Amino acid sequence: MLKNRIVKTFVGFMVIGLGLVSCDTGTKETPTPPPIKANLDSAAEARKKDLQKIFFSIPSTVEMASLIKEKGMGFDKSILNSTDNVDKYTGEARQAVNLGIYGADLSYAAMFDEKQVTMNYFAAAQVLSRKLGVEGALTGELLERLEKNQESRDSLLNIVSEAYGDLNGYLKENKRIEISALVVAGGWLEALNISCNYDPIGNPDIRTRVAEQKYSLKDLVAYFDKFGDAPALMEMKADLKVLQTLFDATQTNSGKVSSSKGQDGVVVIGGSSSITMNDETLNKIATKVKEIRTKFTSI
Amino acid sequence: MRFLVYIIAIILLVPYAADAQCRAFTKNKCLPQLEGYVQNDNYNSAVLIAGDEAELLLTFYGNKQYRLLVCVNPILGNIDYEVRDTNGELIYKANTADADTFDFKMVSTQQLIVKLIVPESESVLPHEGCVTVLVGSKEMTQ
Repeated sequence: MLKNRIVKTFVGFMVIGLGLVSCDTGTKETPTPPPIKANLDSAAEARKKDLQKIFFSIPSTVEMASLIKEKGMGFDKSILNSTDNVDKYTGEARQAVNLGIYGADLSYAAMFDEKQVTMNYFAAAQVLSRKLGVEGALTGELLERLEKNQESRDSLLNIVSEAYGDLNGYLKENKRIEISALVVAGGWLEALNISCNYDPIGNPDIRTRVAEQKYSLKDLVAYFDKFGDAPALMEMKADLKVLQTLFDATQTNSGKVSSSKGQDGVVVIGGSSSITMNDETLNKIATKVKEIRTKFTSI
Repeated sequence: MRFLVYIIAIILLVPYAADAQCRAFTKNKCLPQLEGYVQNDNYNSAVLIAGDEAELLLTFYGNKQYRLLVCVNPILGNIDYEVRDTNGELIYKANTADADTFDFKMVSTQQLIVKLIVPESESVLPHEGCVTVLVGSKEMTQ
């Protein structure tokens, strides 16, 4: 499979390399043959690890916010990170986390069709992305599209999602995957904090959605682990791991997944898996999320 | 000799140049296929080569209808993809030549594994191209 491909490529390079050597008329000692198999194994392993860093499940801030809207709850600007703070963040890690936080705030504002707030948060995110040297994403063209597409909530949401997707793509392509990881973590943290502000104890659906973040957190921690001890990620990684110990107190009920075709021909995927938690665990999680989020947003 | 060095340098640099084209490819060729759905934050795109395999563990929430899109640059050719539950049970399998989108409804929140498999190629020069995985969601219609 991959190894075969690498073998072919490697053999191709070896042929070219041999050609180069044969052109050299100087006399040299015969070099020790390289451990080809070991090299190929490590190349295949490195490629696999690179792909694991690129293909990664990003927790959806849009889907977290959508539940709040679906349940008929109102927009609350006071729970967002003020855009007034944008100029005060220094250091790449803080800027990246807050870029993610503003992204979640953007999704939330767009979900509630809060046009002016959406524009303000997009502008704040743009400032942070420029500070991070990400000139190719969150462009003025996207801002113009936001201005022109204010009639449709779905258009606003799609532009916001596209903007952040493109931002992540830009960071990955420019080998700044650690910054991308911090943006994702900031967004997830903010979306969870927003949900926790909507009385999850009194709202069973929001309680369940908060509990289900156990999945996303597990993915996020595993993702951060792939970077080893990268200094920029250490603080967030430690915070996420503390949060994970609190999520460990939730109860996961695993069940078999079923799938069948519905009457309209669309596949329906069901299953009895669920995650539940008691009030004490929920309170602990909400308090810790707020504490971490406050630490990163305060100046 | 210098010519050969240039050739080798070009071969080595091609994946990075191609990387930079994935965002444009995704915007122009992939995003339009999510029409009718709200794109969620999952945006995974990379240059893959023949023989590559990549996996994504995605969370899908209950009471939502989803579209999973596996968008492949024609230069690479078509690829296989599978959707499995976390126990490894196969839910869906396709080649992008037949279906590059998988529409489904989620009754309850589940994590599913999406696996991409780029077939081997007999060609000596490696084929490579962008592969993008996108997810869109909308309210579930009964």
